[in-house]
Amino acid sequence: MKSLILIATLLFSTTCLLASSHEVLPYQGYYQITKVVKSKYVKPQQAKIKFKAENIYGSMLPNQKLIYSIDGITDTTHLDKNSSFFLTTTKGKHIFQFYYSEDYSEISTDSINFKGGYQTNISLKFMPSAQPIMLEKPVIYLYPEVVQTVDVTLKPVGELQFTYPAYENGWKITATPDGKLVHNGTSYPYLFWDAAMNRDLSSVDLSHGFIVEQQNTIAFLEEQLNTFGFTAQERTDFITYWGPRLASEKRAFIQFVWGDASDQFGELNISPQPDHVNRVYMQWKSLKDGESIPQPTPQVIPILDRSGFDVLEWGGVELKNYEL
Amino acid sequence: MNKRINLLIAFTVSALFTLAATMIAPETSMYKMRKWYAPQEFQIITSSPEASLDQNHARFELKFADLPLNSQEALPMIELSCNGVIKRFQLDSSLTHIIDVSPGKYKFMLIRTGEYNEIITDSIAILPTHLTKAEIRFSQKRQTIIDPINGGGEIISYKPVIYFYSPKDLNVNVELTPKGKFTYTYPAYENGWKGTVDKNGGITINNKHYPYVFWEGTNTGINALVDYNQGFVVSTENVTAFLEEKLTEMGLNDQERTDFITFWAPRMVGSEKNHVQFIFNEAYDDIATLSITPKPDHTFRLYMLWTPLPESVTINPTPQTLISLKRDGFSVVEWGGSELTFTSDISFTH
Repeated sequence: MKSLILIATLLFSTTCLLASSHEVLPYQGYYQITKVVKSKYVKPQQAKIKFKAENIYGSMLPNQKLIYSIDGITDTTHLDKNSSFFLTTTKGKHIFQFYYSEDYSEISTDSINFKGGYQTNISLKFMPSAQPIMLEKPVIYLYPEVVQTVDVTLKPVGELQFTYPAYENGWKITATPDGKLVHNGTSYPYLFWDAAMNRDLSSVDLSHGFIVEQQNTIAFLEEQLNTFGFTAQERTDFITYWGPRLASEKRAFIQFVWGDASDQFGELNISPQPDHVNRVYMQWKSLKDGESIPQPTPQVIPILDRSGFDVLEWGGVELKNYEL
Repeated sequence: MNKRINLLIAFTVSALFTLAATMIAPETSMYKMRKWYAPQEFQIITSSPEASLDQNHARFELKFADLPLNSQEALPMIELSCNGVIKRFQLDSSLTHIIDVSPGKYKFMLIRTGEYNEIITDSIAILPTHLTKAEIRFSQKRQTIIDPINGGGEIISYKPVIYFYSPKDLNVNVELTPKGKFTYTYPAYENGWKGTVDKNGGITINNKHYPYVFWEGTNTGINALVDYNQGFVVSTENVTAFLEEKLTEMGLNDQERTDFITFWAPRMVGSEKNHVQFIFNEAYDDIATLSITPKPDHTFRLYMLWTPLPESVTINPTPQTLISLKRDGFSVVEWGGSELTFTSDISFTH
């Protein structure tokens, strides 16, 4: 009988734990009242509130715009140099919402009772919004030595979004040495896929890579891609895809991923086995004013072996939901 | 003995609760379409007994958690259907709505005025005496890409690329004048692109080979070019087939067609319903003029105006007559496009 009670207790506590996991969701921001202090500078009928905006890395960037609502009325403010802002309102109950940017979920407060004549400090903990990150535009070029039938299959991390030609449990193509791929009677210069994936910055090693200024984007990409040994076609396709995006950022962190490490974005299986499967991914992040990371160690870009039956794939991700 | 029974009861109740909480967690379709998401539209936060409720009563407390503050809208009207019983109410500043019910199963549908997706829940069980708190997040039907630097008036001309074909190597001078301004060119546009068209395809500029030249720009006049009486309405599942058919009919080759489709289709499939209008040749001059010396035997310029349509909009455009291109001799093909925002104040008669 005792053991039954024990089992019941155990199960009970487990279910309680499970149930509580529904209460706080990782992507929801939350707030904490950190201090309530009487202040002679606050009138008895009024309440003063100090909001401090934070994320998992510490304070949010200073001087940024913050949209908030108090009791359903929306207004805009700017965070000060300590990432805070002050508000004086009537004493009593108020309800707030805060919106920082689309990269973070909104924070909604409960109805909070503010004491007259007091200053209340509230810390706003913004969490990255749960938008999946797009793994963009991997394209696959195949250059066999002879005309041959090739099976290409993908195991993407995340979910495939768009493929061209349509991916139906794989691509079965006839590949020719000049790069032309025939699929169901139509020719294509490359195979295209993209996917939505969850990726967080903590999985990225920021100590290796490059910080590239706006005006150097094109020269930088040309240099690196030429080192890898991209063809004119591949290089132009890459640069005309990523260049306009990078060139609209003042500064960006850029990191290349190649070889087996590319499996973190998805596995690529090709049969018959090519002599070389060269995969090059770029992950990058826009660096806003005020965002800084230690100067990364420049990566040493390898020269890809493109002899024999050679395949080249390139793609990339913009790391969005985070500030540094 | 009593203790044991109590524990067993507690265990059963909590197990039921957990089961219910797990079962009713709504499915998300986060990855289905590339849009901006509300992570969970209808999210049960807690469900627990409330002292003020007796065995015959239960209560839902719906909190409208994610009203986008960045819009300046007033608090919205909500249409709520609970097991098919519909009521409308104006949301007040408490941002919550209480529904008193008998214990049982409930299915909700919520509609928010404006361009928001409706929310339809699974059947949600509520136990006697329980207060179930849920958060509601409406997702916007679509956010349009508006040039973040220049505000709403300027439209981006995306990815116009120009391909050159010549039976023999040929020195050319290409001048492109956008009606607005360039935002990106590749290779760099320096008072023109001067180079040699390779008889095997592509163009060599400053000793580097390129399969095509690329430009991108902004322009405030593009909105005026759209005519919802003309063109095509394309639903998301037909995007690829539609583009393949039309581009092939126009005579684009495999490279041009694939480049076009892999650029536009991933964007277009994010919208349920789309208006597509093609602009050809002389009409393209309203976006950018193209002057090439020596004069090509054939120049084909194709621009797509793409407008994602709100669900509520029905238009019946007259299908456009497509123009097809010719390729003998020195020929040039350019394609580009813009995404536009649907504006209902443009009058159209039907």
